Order: sequence, then structure tokens, then C-alpha cells
Amino acid sequence: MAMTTLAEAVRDTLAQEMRRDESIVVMGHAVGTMGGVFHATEGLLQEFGEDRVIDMPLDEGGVVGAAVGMALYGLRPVAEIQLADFVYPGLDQIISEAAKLRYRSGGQYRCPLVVRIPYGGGVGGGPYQSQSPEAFFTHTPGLVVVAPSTAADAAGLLRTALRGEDPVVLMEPKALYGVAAAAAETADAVADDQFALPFGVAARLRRGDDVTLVAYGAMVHPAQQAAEQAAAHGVEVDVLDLRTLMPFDIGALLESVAKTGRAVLVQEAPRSCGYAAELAAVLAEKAIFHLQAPVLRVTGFDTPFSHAAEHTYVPDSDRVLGAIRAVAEF
Amino acid sequence: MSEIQSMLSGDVAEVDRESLALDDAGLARMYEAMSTTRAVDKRSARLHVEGEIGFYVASCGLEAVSVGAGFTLETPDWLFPSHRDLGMYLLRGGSMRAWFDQLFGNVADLTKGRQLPGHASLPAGRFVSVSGRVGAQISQAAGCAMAIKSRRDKACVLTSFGEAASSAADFHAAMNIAARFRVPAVFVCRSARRDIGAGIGGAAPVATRAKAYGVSAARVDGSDVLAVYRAVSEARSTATEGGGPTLIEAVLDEAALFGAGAPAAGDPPSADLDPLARLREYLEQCGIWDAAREDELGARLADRIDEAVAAARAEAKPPAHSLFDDVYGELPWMLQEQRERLVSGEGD
Repeated sequence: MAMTTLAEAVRDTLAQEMRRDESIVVMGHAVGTMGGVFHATEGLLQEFGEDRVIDMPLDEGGVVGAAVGMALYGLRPVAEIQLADFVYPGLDQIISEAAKLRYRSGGQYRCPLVVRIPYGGGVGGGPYQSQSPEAFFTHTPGLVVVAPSTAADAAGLLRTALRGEDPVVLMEPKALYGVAAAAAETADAVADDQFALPFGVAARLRRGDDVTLVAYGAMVHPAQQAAEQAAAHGVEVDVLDLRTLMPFDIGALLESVAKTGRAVLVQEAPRSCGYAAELAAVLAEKAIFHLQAPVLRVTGFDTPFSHAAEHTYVPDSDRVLGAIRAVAEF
Repeated sequence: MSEIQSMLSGDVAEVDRESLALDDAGLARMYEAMSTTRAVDKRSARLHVEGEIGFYVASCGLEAVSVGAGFTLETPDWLFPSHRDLGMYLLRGGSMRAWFDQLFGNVADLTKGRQLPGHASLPAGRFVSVSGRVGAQISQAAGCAMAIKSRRDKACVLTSFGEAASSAADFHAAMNIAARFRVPAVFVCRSARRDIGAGIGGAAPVATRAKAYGVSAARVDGSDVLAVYRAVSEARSTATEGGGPTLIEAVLDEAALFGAGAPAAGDPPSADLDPLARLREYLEQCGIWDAAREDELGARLADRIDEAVAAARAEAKPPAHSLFDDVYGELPWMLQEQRERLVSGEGD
């Protein structure tokens, strides 16, 4: 059976789309000769040449700024940031330029680019190779933010991004890059050069009537494990993988909580003012009469990421299970 | 550092017309473009001072740069402008009416009242939406030039900015990228004439810093439109012929440069530093211009500007619900919801 990793899914989808649309270019530090720090662009330089697979100087502001200029000219740049922790010099061009060009020009310009950002812990990266900065992007009007949890979802969301008109931040869980999905449907999805997932549609990974569990990206996997463990305790969990963080699937969230009356939200990022806080606020506004327990968050801590304490920091299935049991028993 | 190139010395015999691809009619058009730019700018600044529009950054005294550089461009060229490039906006086909509509942020404004006065956007003229973030356009211009080069298109990119932006990270990123990929780009920087190390820029002149990155550079007299035109023309030819990027540093009198930014600006610099006066003197010496033409132009501009301002002032403001348009290609659920609550008066 074919095995496809998340990194391979990104690479194969880029290659398929670059064959279809010659305006797509891949750019970033070491994306060409080195094939990307996580090998997600391996082989593209050989197939598409240096006009379309561009090794850029190591400066994220310059990479994104140049990508914005290319997008305005009519190309579809895919800018790779080596690690999410390094995106901050590029935030200015993402937030002030890419996200606002359509708006500030009254719709006269558009800026269809994709910024690929390997994020999260799990590889022993310490404070500068482990961060989860999605809230900077989800708090910026004009950006679509997606976070796949599987190789197939990465392929489907990337394809939709490459065929859309909005700037898209693709949060790639680096802990999952090398994870091979053995499922045949994954290989089929990645091999299918038309497989696309619409933005704003969550995946229901497990059905249950007792607790709603919401996760995205790398956290989907401890969430699923915790849901299985909860079932052994007699608690049936409805597991939602958001896939798109902005704009997220409000319908799926509210439908689930209307049924369960209980919600646990999981994110790897620091707790305060993180993405899960928005979900909690929406539940407070729109689902208060369904709620039978406090909405709980399972998150990273309000500290920088620590090398030695990585496994303490990143939420695991035990912490998620603890929150599930707390709301179930409330 | 290299000398500051000039052409308009006051002595008609010293002007090397052979080095310019401009006939008499072209020179007259150039002067008219500069006069139009100044008249529109002065009126724009007055609208701000009188409280009719929001904050406006004037560009009086900088016409030699915006018109001299803008005059060199061909149709397929792209412009990544700053907010003092009114001259380029008009040369690229922007109308007075559209300009004043933007200043008033009215319902006819193509940018829908989203930006401060003077932050124009003109896709038909390949004049990119002006950012409120100083310097952001410089690295974008380098990327656009990369795209032009990779597509083998016969065009160049011109970006303009003030000296302050040369300290921004975008400038350094752009110089590095432009030199690395030898892109067809022309960078035009407006700098103040002063002792080295004394100003708001870096310790070395901008042109020196550009050269250190491997970008060709020249310094020109920024109130001498013919010198700007000649230098930018050469840079454009070099760019489109595969010779790589050039930075043109237009050196201006400090008072003219920074005074122009004051919202109340409107008084032109002294005659020896006034780009309009300098070109007019030359044109009069050549018999291309005279007092009668000057009066006729002044009257015509005043009428056209009055008409455009009156029309723009009479337009309504955009409807409140247009606030939600153009954030995304399609309105997502949260914006639909916010829009409905605003329109219905339902509240938060």
C-alpha cells in the first residue's frame, strides 16, 4: 500500500498544480537546491527550473514582500517560511500588505499568495523552532488561515488555496511532516490532481453525544486518542477537526454543542488570547442556553516554548482526557 | 561619492539637448505636467487645511522627481509609488476627478474611502495602491521585477520613496534581491542635500549604500527635471535591456523636501530650487514657452480643478455597509453577520 507523508502531500500537490498553472512559483530560503528544510519542495527545482522554484535570500520580510509584488503582477507565489518562529519579519508584509491590498484599493487589486508556515512543537526545537503563531493571522482581516492534520487535508487545502483569490496562511504541523498515513484514501487523495477541500468546512472525526472536542493541526491526534480513551470511560465525544481556522465552520461547532452541551477546545499555542478563546467567546454568545458545563481549553502555557519542557508544554491525550472528564462530570 | 548630475544651470547653451529624447512639444508637455501636479497638490493641501478632507501629505517642490521619472515610463511598466507621487499618478492616466474623489473618500472614489487622502490606486496605469506603511512598496517592486524577468516581458518596475524609507528593512531586502536576481527595476529615492552623516538616513548617501549591494546608482539634482528624466531614462533602458537594477538618488534642498510634507505646504521653494521655475526659464530661453501660454495654462488648470473639486465635494459618502466589502473575495459568515447587525441597527 502506498504511504504518503504530509511533506510528500505538500510537494506532490505543488507539483501537480504547477503543471496545471504556470503562474505558480515556489519561493523561500533553500526551497530549491536543498528542497526545503522539511523536504516539502524536494525535486521541484529539477522539474520546474529556477524561474519557478526560487532560492531567496534569508529574509522573511523580503521573501513575503517580493511575493506580494509577484502576486500583484499576476503570478501565484507560494512563499515558504522555514519555521513559524521566523515569520515575524514577514508579518508586516502579510498583515499590512497582502491582507489589505484588496480592501485598501477598493477591490481593484487582489493578492493571491500562499504563505506556508511549518509550526508547532514535537521536534525538540526549543523556543525558536516550535511556536504556534496562528492567532496573529486569525486576528488579521483579509487572511484565510488553514491548519491541516493529515496529508490528505494538506493536499486538499493547499489546492483550494492555489485556486483561490485570497491570501492564505497554511499552518503546516511540522511534527506530522514525516508521519506516513497508510490509509489507501490518503494516497488516493494526494494522487488525485483535482482533490480539493473547501475552506470553512470542518471534519467530524468521531460522533458522540456527550462532549464536543475541537482541535486543529497537530492537536487533532491527541484529541482523537483522548476521545477513544473517554469512550472506555463511557463518555462519547464528538470530535471536530476545524481544518480552516478563519473563516471557521460555525455551523458544525454550534450543531455539535447544541447536541452535547459541553465543549473542550484544544490548541498548542499559549493560552491567553489564543485562537481557542475566540471559539469560547462564540459559544458564550451563541450557545449559552445549550451549555451545561464551563467551556474548557487545553492549551500550551503562557510561557515561551522550552526545550527541556517540550512534552510538558504541548498538550497530550492525558490532558485532553482530563478536560473531557471534567466537563462530562460537571 | 559620485557627483550630482544636473542639466538646468541657467545657461541655455550648457543644456545638452542631444542627450534627451524630447522635442519642443515634449518639453512643453513635461512643463504642463509639472504645473498640473503643483496646482492639484496645492488645492489638495488647501482642502486639508480648510478642514474639508483628512490628513494630506503635500508634494509641492518635488515635481521634478515625480514628473521627470514618470515621463520615462512606457505603457507596460509598473509603478510602486509612495504618497508623494501625484505627478506619476496623473501621467499614468489618473484623472483629476478620480484624484479628488479619493481625497474626499466619496461614493465615486474607486478605493471606496478606505485610505487617507493621496493614497491612490490605478490598476489601468499599473500604478499600485499606495501603502500607508513607509517603504513597504520597495521589496514588492523587486518581486514584481523578478516576475517580469522570469516571464521575459519587456517592461520595468519603478518604485519611489523618500530617504527615510532607505533605513527600513524593505529597502535593504529590495537592494539585496534586486542585485541578486539582476531584475529590471529602477529605484528612485528623494534625499536631502546635506553633510554626510547629519540626516535622518544612514551615514552614507543612499546611492553609496545601493552600490554596496551591487545596484548601479547615480545622484541627480532633484529640482532639475531634465537631469532626473535623463538619469531615469538611462536606468529604464538598462533595466529593460537586461542590465539590471539602478537606484537614482534625487537630491533636494532639505527645506523643500521636508517642507513639502507639511500639510499646510503650498509655498513653492525659492526660484533657484523651484523645479517649475527652472524648467520654465529654460523653455522661455528656447522660445518654447512664454507669459501668454503660462497665463492660459494657469487659467485652464484653475477651471478644471474647480470643476473636479466641486463634483467630488457634491458626491455622498459611501454607504456604511460597504465597510465589509473587499475584505475577502466572498463575504464570510462573520462579516455577513456583522453587516446585517449594522444595517438593521440591531447592535452588537
